Amino acid sequence: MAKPVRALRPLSLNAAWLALPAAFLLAALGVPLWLVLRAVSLESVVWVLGVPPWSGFVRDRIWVDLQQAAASTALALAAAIPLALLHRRAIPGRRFLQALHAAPFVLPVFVVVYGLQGTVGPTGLGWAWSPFAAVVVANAYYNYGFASRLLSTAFERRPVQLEDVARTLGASPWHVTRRITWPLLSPSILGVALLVSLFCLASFGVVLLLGAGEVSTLETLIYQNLRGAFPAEDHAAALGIVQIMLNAGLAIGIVAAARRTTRLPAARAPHLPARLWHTVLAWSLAAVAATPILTVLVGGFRVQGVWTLETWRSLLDATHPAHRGGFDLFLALRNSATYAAGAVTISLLLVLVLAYAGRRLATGRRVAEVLATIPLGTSFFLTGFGLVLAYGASGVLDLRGQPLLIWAAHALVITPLLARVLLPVITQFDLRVEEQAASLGASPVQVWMRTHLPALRRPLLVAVSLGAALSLSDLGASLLLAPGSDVAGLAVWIDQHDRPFDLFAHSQAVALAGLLGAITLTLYAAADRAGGRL
Amino acid sequence: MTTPTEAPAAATAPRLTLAALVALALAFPVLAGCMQTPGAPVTPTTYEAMGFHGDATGTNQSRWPSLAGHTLTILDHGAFAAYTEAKARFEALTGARVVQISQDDAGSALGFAILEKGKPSADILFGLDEALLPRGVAAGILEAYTPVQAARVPVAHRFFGATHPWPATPVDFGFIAINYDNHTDVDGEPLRIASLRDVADHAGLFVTQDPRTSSVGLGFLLITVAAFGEATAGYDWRDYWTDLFVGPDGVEDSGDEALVTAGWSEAYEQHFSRGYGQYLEPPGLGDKPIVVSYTESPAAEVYFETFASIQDAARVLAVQGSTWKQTETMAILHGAKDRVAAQAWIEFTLTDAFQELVAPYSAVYPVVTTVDANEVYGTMDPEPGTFHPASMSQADLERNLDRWVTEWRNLCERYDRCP
Repeated sequence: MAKPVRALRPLSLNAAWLALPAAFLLAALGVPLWLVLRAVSLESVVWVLGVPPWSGFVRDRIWVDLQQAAASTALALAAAIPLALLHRRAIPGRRFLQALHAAPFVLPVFVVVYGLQGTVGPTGLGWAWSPFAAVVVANAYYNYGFASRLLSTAFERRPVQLEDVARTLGASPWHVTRRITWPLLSPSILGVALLVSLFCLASFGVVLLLGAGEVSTLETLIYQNLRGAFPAEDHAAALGIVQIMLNAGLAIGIVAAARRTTRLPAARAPHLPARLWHTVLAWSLAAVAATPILTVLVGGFRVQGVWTLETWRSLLDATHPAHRGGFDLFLALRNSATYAAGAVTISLLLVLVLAYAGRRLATGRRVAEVLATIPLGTSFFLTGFGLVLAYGASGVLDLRGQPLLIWAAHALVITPLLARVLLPVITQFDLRVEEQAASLGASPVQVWMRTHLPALRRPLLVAVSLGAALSLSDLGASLLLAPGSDVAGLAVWIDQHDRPFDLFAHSQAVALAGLLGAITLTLYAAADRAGGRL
Repeated sequence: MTTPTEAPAAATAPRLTLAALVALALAFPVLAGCMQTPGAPVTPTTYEAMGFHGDATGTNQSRWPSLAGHTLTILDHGAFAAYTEAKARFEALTGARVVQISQDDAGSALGFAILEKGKPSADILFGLDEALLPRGVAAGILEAYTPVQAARVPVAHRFFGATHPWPATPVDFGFIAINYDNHTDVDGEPLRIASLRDVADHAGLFVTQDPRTSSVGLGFLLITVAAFGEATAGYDWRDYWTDLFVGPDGVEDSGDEALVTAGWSEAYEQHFSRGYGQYLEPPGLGDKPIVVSYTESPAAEVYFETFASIQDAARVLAVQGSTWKQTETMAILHGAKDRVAAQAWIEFTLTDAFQELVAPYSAVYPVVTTVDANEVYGTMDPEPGTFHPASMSQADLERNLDRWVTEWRNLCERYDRCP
């Protein structure tokens, strides 16, 4: 029998620490949402439902939103599944190609929209897209690589030994696929589909830039009801409730799908051999996929088909006639960096506390996951507006002018992602190693430095880079919380520069989008090199 | 896989210290924020007390007490075309630094200022007009101020009446009006719009703006309310808008309905067939020959050389009651961080140095009569006195505006014509 351990000191925080992330969620999400949603009225609910005498306006718009999300998801998966299957093969540079396809997910909305406009859109091949088609293509482009990567992981980690056993027992390939492989993979595919539809349903920037008023999402409807001199707060609140219910439904579906995925140990599926045409196809597809991004990266050096440095000169030189008043590139970059650094710090702290405090509870992992996922379920614009109400001029605390507000808003966005990266690693640390180290007299700090830190170093790098990239890419919260020229980050300045039908101003916006895209891509590449997967 | 279910509870002293440290780290920015916010009081409290007694030219630096070290923040509606030039002149004149916060439209700028009530990030709000200024006053976001050079604003432009001090200072005015492209043929004849009724009869060719976000769109809504009234029985402004939203064929969604965009730019630059949007690369759609813009727009197009002569530009519908006079103001935001600089800016906007920028940059008229917009537009420039703007008392406007906009929204949603 094992002898009793002298002192069992697993590296965990008291479960009471869970109060910290809970308090953050309450302060940054709960209170703001309450302040917005309490404006709901019977009239506004009737308005949303389209009960006469109200028109079915909202109902119709939500219907279009659902169609848009369904079409976007279908298109994203139609690209993602074959891509994941292709990348099962041992194609040279396979990891790089997959990373390339997934890159749009972390890019600022401007890069994606300008990129598509400059390639398959009006300023590229000159194709005319209906707003609906444009939104669907942009949303699919945003998500397909990310979806493909998640699917690839699921394909690779399936317990192939089951298939081997079935084959050994004489099952036909069709039978193996239908009875073994498909049941093993279908929950993952469903989960990915639901996750992608969650993102498409909440799409804000893409719809605002490409929807042309014909396509709206709940998010843009909420925005339209809150902006302007005649805001309808009660209508926004009613829409917010619909949004939260829809998202909660999807989130429950995602969790249910995740629970149905197999927990059998994976005997890593071997890569199938790659023929030449597989390699050629994979690299060609990646080249096509990267074209929109490249178009934006070089777009700042081209005006109407001519190579020029004039755009950058106008951006950097405050005395240039086309220089936009109040713009200072380095100040904007510094603001963006400040917001990203603060948001990542807060988010990291929250996730680490969640992970270590959750370790002690029987249901710790689930509690941690749920807490970390909650921000995904709400309207981002609604939360931002609530933050203004709660911590603005007439709020409980006046935090205006402090970066804290943006830190909190961005931390809400990136925490679910950081949790995805870090929680699984921390919850899988073997307690026995810690016990043994402790029994040999190591202090908790030593144990952590020796056993956890080495394993966490890479995931931490991934979390920091991806978190920073997402914070830099944010537009919605920044527009709402830091629009002033002294405090605006680069994303807000891109929006400020772009004036429709002013080609030079547009090229300025494209130049800045290219710069921001290059920064986020660098961070993303750093995360990728560290072994991170979205 | 091991799960940490068997972990015993052992809260030890080091962990408590860590907790305290983390709590402190989290609380620090909050505490720091609280300590910073009061700020140093600005003395003296008015620009006049600093020694400003007026300078109509706006170029005589000796008459403008130095504001070195001051920063002025202007919140505008995203169409402050003269900003860069005005900023340079003001900075050279006073030594203050000017920064800008742009919103998409006047309505959004006002909404933004209301959210920031009492502790604005800007000092000046530019763009409130007859319709929006009362909302700003009612929201309590403005600080009244009568300029030292108040006499430069003719009484006719003081739409807020004889109230003292002024809720805001008028700086320019223009007339919102239907522009139409008579180079477009309809049924083999050049398009001709002679009345608001003609607009409804060609609803499918018409693009206007959402009055909730665009002050131009709001102006057109007010034109229709003034023109068709609120009849208890019979045809009124709601019927007119129903005609616009359904189209002359009386069938919904048949393609002959009026188009509503969120802002002026989209309507004029992208959809209007006789604006500069058609000459940009890539050109706008140019699918609508009737648009809501300003009486001055065609002259401005010639001034900016879109067209060689005024005959090539669009036509303006200027019959009795078909235009809306819009006066744009500069207002000081209540709780402005730099009230003195804000007052100096207001004074500056009444100088020739600012007023002469109004016509060439924004295609509207300067309020100061000594500055002649005709120097810019020459003979193409219609005299403001020749229009017959819709008449509505300011009291009527203030009392009913909310209801009109809500009713408009309901109509727009019912026919699903909202942007």
